[in-house]
Amino acid sequence: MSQYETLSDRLELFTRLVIPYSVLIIAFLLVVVSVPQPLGVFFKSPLLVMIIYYWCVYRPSLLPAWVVFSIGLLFDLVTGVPYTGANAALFVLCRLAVIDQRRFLLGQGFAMVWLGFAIVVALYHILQWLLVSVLSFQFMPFSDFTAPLAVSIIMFPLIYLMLHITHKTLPS
Amino acid sequence: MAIPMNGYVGASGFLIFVAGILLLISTFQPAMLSGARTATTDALSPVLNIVSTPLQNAALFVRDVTGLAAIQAENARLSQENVKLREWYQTALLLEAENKSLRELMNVKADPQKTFITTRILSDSSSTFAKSLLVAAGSNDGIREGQAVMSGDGLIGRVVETGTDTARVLLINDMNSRVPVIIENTRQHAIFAGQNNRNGFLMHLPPETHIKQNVRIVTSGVGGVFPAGLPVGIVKSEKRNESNQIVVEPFADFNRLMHVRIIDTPIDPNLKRGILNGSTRNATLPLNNSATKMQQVIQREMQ
Repeated sequence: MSQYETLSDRLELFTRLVIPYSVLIIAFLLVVVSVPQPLGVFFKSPLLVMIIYYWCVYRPSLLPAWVVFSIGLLFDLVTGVPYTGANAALFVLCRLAVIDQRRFLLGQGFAMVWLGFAIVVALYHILQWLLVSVLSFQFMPFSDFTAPLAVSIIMFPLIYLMLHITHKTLPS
Repeated sequence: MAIPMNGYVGASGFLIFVAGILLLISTFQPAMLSGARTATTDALSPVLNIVSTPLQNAALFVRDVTGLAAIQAENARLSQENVKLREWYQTALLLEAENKSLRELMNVKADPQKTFITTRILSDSSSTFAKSLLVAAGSNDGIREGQAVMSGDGLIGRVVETGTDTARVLLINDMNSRVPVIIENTRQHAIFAGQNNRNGFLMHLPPETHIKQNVRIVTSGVGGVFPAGLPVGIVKSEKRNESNQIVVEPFADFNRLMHVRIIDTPIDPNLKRGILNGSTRNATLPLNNSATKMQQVIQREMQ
């Protein structure tokens, strides 16, 4: 027998499920809108990679591959990057890598989860750099990627905390 | 890293394959995805408009609060600059009157008056490998592809894609951007090329050319995309960098933009008159050999 039989139960379930997706949509909007400096630096970090990483470790069913792909594709289309599909592919690859290691990460403390994120976001930037260098037929300076990489690693605990609070609202 | 082969990987593999096809299309046939991009940005523009306004105001507030100490020094500097500018203003008025009188005497056909469309920035490409902006004005507002885009300080780019309510601006510091320019004191033609960071460099500059530091670089108007005389930047150093390039620092601060001005240049009536009279050749004839060569280079670069 289902745990959510009455209308109010179902409404509660729906509301709880809406929260993580709302956070995802808000993060998407924050990343794509134009925010001048000094605030811009926080929004230009790969917030979406942080969210994908968190949910793929703690609740992968919330972010199926097609959702991750759609976010990446929408991101590419709105930001007008010359290589449409690059972030779609990279987000799906990040998801695959995290899901592969989630059993290990689930049993670890925050420091190891943070380190895991640092590795995933570094891989994301390295693959992005490789892809752009190959498709543009010239080696891009990797130094351009170091600032967003550093900002995202520093910001991760804050986003982790926010997502952790969201996580608590979800039904088990 | 061992990735288990199950249904999840199969679905992911298929999606990566689809993304790969999109990547190939966007690399070799970018125009094919232009419709999808403009349709997406047009559909999302109302939401982006609502979200970006408070964030931009918050950024301005933080900038004002954190910059209080700097404001005093800035105020003193501006007061001094204002005194100098007042003198320049009087000189400019005199020169304008003299110029007008001489033009009338010599029957010079005046350039058409430029008009501006000022609009807000909705989104910017956050990636480090592309520099573009999405602005809240499109073909419904009279925006056309190729129009030059300015900030308060100088040229920032040109319109490359237009939707009905949004337009995409390719910034001059994008590595795919090329702007025909002229070095103000020597009248030497060159091309300003972006390199995906703050500064750009000058291309097609004769090796013997000597350029002084802090010399202004303005658009030459060659090629017809950008109107002549728009400020682009200043030469950062007279020494060439390790790639033997002259580095130019754009006037515009790309990290602090909130509004842009899109220049609506009407078709030159003098040029139109020349075409109607069957004397197109004279009407569009470049002024010198340097400009002619540059025109050929630009046509190649723009292809």
